[in-house]
Amino acid sequence: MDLLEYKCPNCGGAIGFDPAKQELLCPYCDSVISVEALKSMDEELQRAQENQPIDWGYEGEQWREGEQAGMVVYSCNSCSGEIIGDETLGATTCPFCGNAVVMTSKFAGTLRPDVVIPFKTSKKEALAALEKHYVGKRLLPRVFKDRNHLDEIKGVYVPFWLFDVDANAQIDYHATTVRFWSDSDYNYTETSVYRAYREGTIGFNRVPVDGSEAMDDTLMEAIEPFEMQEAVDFQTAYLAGYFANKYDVDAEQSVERANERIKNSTESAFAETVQGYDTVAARNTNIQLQSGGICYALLPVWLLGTSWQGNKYTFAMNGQTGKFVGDLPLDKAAYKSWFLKIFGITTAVLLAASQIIVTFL
Amino acid sequence: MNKKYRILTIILIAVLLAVLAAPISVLAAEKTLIVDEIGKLSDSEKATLNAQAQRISETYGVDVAFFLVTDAYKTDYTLPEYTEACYKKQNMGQNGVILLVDEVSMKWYIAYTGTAMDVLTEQKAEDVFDAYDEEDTYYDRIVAYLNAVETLLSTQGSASVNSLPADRQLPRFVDKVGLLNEQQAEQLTKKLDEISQRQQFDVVVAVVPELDHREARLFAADFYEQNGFGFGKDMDGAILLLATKDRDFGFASCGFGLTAFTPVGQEYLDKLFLPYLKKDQYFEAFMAYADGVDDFVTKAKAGEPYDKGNIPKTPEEKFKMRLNGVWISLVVALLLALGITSSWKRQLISVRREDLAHAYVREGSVILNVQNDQFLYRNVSRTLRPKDKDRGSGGGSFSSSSGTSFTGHSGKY
Repeated sequence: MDLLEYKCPNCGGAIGFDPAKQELLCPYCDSVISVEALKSMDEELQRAQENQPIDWGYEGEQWREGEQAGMVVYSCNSCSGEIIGDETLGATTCPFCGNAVVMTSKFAGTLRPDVVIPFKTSKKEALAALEKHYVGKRLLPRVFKDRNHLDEIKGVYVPFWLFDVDANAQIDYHATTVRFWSDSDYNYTETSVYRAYREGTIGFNRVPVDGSEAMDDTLMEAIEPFEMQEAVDFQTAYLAGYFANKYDVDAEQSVERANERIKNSTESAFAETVQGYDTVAARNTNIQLQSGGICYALLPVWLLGTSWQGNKYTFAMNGQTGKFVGDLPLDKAAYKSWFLKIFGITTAVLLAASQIIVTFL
Repeated sequence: MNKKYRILTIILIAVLLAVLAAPISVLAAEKTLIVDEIGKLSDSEKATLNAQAQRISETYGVDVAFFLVTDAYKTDYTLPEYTEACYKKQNMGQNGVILLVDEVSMKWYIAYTGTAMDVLTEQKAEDVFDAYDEEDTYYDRIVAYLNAVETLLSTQGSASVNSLPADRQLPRFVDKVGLLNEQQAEQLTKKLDEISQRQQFDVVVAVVPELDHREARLFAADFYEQNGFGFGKDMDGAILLLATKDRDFGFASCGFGLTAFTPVGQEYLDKLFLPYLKKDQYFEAFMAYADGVDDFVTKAKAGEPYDKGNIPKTPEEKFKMRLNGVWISLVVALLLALGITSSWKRQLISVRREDLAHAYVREGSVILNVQNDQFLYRNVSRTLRPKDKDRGSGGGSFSSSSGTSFTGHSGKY
């Protein structure tokens, strides 16, 4: 005969059934566990399944005849980035690393983009956004602003994979409420622990993942979101006057990042439905993703590059929404100076105040 | 045992009164008031108990004795007769109480005479024996007996009013140990006299080698009262008494002192002189005490006795607060400078990963099929609450042996 042993969800100790209370009691931490709760937790754990790989079934669209005529590929000797443009563009520097583009070849191969979000902001607006980006940054070196010369400003269509996904989620949240009270001798803290189970579905449309190796993924995520409803069917005409980067990370490689973000969002969205508790944390998560489609898109990005004390600084602006990002250098001397000023003045004020107060006590 | 003892009734021995002569009480200091014929008490216990009995006898003018005997007397006496014989044998005075316990026959007898008859009745005598009988050891029993008799004597005001002197018997600085040199003693006495006269409030300092069984504040109160200190009918004044053997000190004040020295105020008074006492700087301690009492009385006369809310900080406390002010200022300034400059530093960083995909959630696509909240378990933890520092720190009112109200406290230095 097998001896069944259950573990306390609070401390992990073996728990036993208390006939008087008709509940399970933990002899180690004195927790009282409802039989029903333990049973359903057990069932849920058994139901948890391994995530099945998703079959996206994407084959992509091929270029139509004549579309690639007049398009050339500029290859960077330094970072191996490739950009596409028309023959008249005459690109001189790489938008990714700022090095001179030395090689030009006829555009060929790769899939034809499904959709494109056309540029809605101009180069002038990008420059204005950069100026605004400097404002209010006390620790930005002054000379960086004054002597800063942009190497080049380029409007680039960056390749993205867009994923449509439906998620089925079963999530166990560990939720607590805390109550405090006191009597004449002791302060009491009562922590009530709940299991909040949520099961449901959530859909995502066109979650973007950067498909360019040369483009910094974090930089591209930082300028999100893109308003995907404004995407239109791809036409080569949209590329006129801009560079385009062809994908070198395929959809299969990109899906992992999309899944990660979708799972995080699902867990977070369902957690918002667990209300009335002081703390909520996901304990067991089981999310199955179902493909709703995949799409190859070109999204508009303004790339601005500059150099400072031997380091490259790249700024990016969402060519659709105008959201501007880019890390700035730190003026270490200003940092020290401000630190000492604030520390000195605050110390002097507080010291004077404390000594005056003590004098009058 | 108690019931067996009560077989005998309590008989008043009137004859005893006649044979006891008044001059004998003068020799009270030489009497043996605690007699143990069966060897249940150690010598030190006998000495301690005898000292307590002597003190009660001197305080109230009533001899209080105890005899622990075998039943050997039975061949010649009855229990009352033997009690009378013991009373005579010990040269006890015309006012007296004696408890005799026959440990072999389990019998007891209480006899009382003179002014003791004013406070002891048959019932009260039984109460006194009950107090004795409730304790476990012989020593504790006899202490309980003596305390019970003393309580009766004190509550009935049996201490002879005449025994308390109307005028001051001693100088305001009494040093039975020789802590101060002659010059210091003179200077201190002069200061105590000046303050006492000006404030019409006796300020007394006494140093004795050791306490008897009494608490230091009670010893101080009795010393103050029995030596005629105090101004006016309320005996306005205060005394600081040191017992050097065990480094005890007691403070007691009566009359206007009950107003001037609140329990919280007494804690402040201690802060003025205790630091000196702890360093054996007795002269400085007594001078600080005298100045402190002067200040306390002045404040109380102005209608603002030192109490919660108006206790000034001592120089040491102020120094500590100033030092804390420096540390706190430095730490707060450091945290503030770090916080502000860090937030400015963070402004320079705007390239961050986006780990969520909230912006791409299809509108109306969130559907909850199961929503189930279940209670799992509950834990209650408790932590001891910090006690109020002011609570139970002494400084409350109490009665001296004669029943006079005092305020004060005891402590070690």
